Amino acid sequence: MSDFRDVRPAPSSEADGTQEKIVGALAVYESPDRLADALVAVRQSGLTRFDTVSPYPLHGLDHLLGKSPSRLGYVAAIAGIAATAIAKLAQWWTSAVDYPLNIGGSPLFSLPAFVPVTFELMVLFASIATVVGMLAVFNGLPQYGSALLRSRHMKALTCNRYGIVVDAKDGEFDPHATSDLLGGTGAMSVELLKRENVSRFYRERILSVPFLLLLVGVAIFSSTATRMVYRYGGEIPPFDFMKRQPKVSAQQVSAVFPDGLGTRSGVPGTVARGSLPYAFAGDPERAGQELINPFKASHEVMTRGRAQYGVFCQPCHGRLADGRGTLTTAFPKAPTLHSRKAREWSDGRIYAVLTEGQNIMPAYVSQISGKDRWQIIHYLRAMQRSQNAPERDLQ
Amino acid sequence: MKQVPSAPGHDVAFDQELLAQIDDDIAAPMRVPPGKLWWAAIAFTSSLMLLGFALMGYTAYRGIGVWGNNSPVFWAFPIVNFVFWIGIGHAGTLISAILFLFRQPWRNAIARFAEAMTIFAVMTAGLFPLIHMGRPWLAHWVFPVPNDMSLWVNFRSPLVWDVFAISTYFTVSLLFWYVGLIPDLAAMRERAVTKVHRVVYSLLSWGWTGLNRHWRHYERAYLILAGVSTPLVVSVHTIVSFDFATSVIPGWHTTILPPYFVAGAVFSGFAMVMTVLIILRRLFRIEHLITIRHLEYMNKVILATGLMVGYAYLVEMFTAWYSAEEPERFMLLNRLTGPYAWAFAVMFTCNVIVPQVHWFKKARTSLPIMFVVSILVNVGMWFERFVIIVTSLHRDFLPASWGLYAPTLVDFGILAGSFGMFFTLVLIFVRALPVISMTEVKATIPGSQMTRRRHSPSELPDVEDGIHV
Repeated sequence: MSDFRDVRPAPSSEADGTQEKIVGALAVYESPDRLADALVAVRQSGLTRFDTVSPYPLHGLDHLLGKSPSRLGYVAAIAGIAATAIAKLAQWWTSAVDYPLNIGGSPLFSLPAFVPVTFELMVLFASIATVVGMLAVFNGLPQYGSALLRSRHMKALTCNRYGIVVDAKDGEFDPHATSDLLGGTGAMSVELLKRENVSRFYRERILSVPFLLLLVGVAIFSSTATRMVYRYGGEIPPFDFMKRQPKVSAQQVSAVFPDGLGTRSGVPGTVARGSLPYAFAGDPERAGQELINPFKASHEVMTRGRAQYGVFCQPCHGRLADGRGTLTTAFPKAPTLHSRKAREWSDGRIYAVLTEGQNIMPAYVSQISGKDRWQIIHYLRAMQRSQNAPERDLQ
Repeated sequence: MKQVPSAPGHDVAFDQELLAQIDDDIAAPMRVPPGKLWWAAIAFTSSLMLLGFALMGYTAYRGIGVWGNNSPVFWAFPIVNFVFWIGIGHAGTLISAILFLFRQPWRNAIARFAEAMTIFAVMTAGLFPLIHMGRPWLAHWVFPVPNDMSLWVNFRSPLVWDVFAISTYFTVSLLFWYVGLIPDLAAMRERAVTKVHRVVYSLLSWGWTGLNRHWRHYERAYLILAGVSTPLVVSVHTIVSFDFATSVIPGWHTTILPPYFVAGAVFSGFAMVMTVLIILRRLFRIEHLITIRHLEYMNKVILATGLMVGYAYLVEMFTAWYSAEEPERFMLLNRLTGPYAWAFAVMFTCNVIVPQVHWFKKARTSLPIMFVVSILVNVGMWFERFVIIVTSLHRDFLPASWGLYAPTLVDFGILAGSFGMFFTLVLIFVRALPVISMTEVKATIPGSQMTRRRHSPSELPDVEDGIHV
């Protein structure tokens, strides 16, 4: 107890250009019981800005300090509830609104299926909020500049000693009087805590021009480099074995065959499905006599014929088959299909024109399937009948 | 060396030097340079780890065709290893969170190490789904981040639940572990011997000084984390079991899978903690902190969870018989007598029969016996996952598509690499951070708290919050 007057002389502040001020006093005790007794004495002395320091939690100190339990639980609860709401909303929006995915016909918004992810996010948010709240908000950490860290008693205070710290901002604080008071409470040692007014670390290192320039340089370099990589590098897959397959594509040379062609033609005489050869090439009149439209007029046939007519015929022959198509300003005018000649042609004769072309009209055999050609003819017949209706239609 | 009781029950007079002694003993591995044994051990484990990484790189380069996985066994070693390692992690959370809530002070001596093991095991486990993707550079597609296909993940898929469960589990375990470490890091900061130590421990301890204000919120934070970790740990292996249970494969499609997986996870995790602690306490001479009594308690947990696992095996058999479902009955017969019957035999012997020795106190307190049992349990638990995954897949409904599975050397290499990675991390941990929580051990020593209750001077002005020194 004799060495409680352990006030170290203030260092010569002016010499190294820094200023130190006393920010508090620290008393060190040798057992939890001594600390508790001292604590009651300090409270009775009228000081209000002080706290204890201990290497491990001492139970019962909250009671002596008149502190209620931590309110950290509310932080965790709010974070957990918020996470629950966010998780449910996000799953609903992604699965049922933004990109509805039909998975085996199960409902787009499925409450039970969304429970696991919601629960995990609740735990995650609550935990992160608890830790961040405890460290940064409730405890005010980090405190790398705390004067306690510079105390020579700090090692013992994290091992087997207990302390009381009085803040110099306490109205009752006086370096000498408070030291005497703490010394009188059974302290092993009393120390005045000092702290530099302005942190030299911030002033000389963090705020120095070279360091700030370095930060700016890193920022400019990394954003430029990222931009360059995306602009000129594109997306580079690490490995693309699946894309590179040992096969011959169309028009490529093949070493397997003597003629060196990669593209092979079929066995002579084979016919692809739906591609029976046209038997009346160069003889449209015979086609007109022998070919018969295999379709009967029906709603489906008319609808299909109308659609295909609209795609392939309408640009030249016009919507009403009157030769006033949208392309007639750029191309030679196509004839009307309401002429007596066209009306009197058989379906097979028209089929021959669609298949082989006529005058300036090209062959459509490669673009319109045979079935569609017959259905277009049905639609054409309907249009012809609408413009040149026979007497009986009008009765 | 002084005998330091690490839990209440021993009536020993409070001694200040005891506290310093505890700190010295726990901090010793960080203050002295490692010996030849440590270097030899880490050389071996890190070689295995590098072998595993090289083979993972080879897999990413050539494709997963280099493994034994093929129709009909598309899930094999990687998923077996994934479930195995996730399970190992569960003991850590059980010890740190659930036993904390049950106020079991004996956990204090082993909690830190078990938590570290959780983190390393989850890190190891996480590699397997990653490499199983075949194209791990597209791993971000499993998260609901906007991507070039403007497509979201399917939140109805257990595989997506898995992503959330594992990543949450890792994050929360890390936070829990780190929060527990902060006061110890502050103590290490004060005991630092080199400048590097001082800077690193200072930065990591956030300027912790141990004010009562700090402790008040810290203890509440620890309680909340324990509270949320408890359902979390149950949910994680439940969700892992959903990967199987929500499918229609006989042997997977059962409702007992979630509790069975959780019990099995705790079982294997405790065995792994046991294996490592038995070596560690001898090497670092902390037998007085991690006593035979601690190990005996852990053996009781191993026995209890082993019985649960055995019960699950029997219920599975009973249900298969009782269901009168032809595929279920065939699955059971195929497990017992099919081409992988040997795997079932290994599993059943190691998981159900071997732990029965722990009914005897002699076995529970004998280091050699418990060491062998702990290793056998983990062998058995690895085979349990093999049995569940491979024997269920290789013969399902359609006999025309039956097949056999054989792992390749790459499979074995990656398995060995996972053990290498886990033990490398453990070896680094025991040299870099306090293996036992100094704070918790000191706080529960007899006499380390106030011995009598005092009257609070309530009529006095309130003590202000938040002193700033």
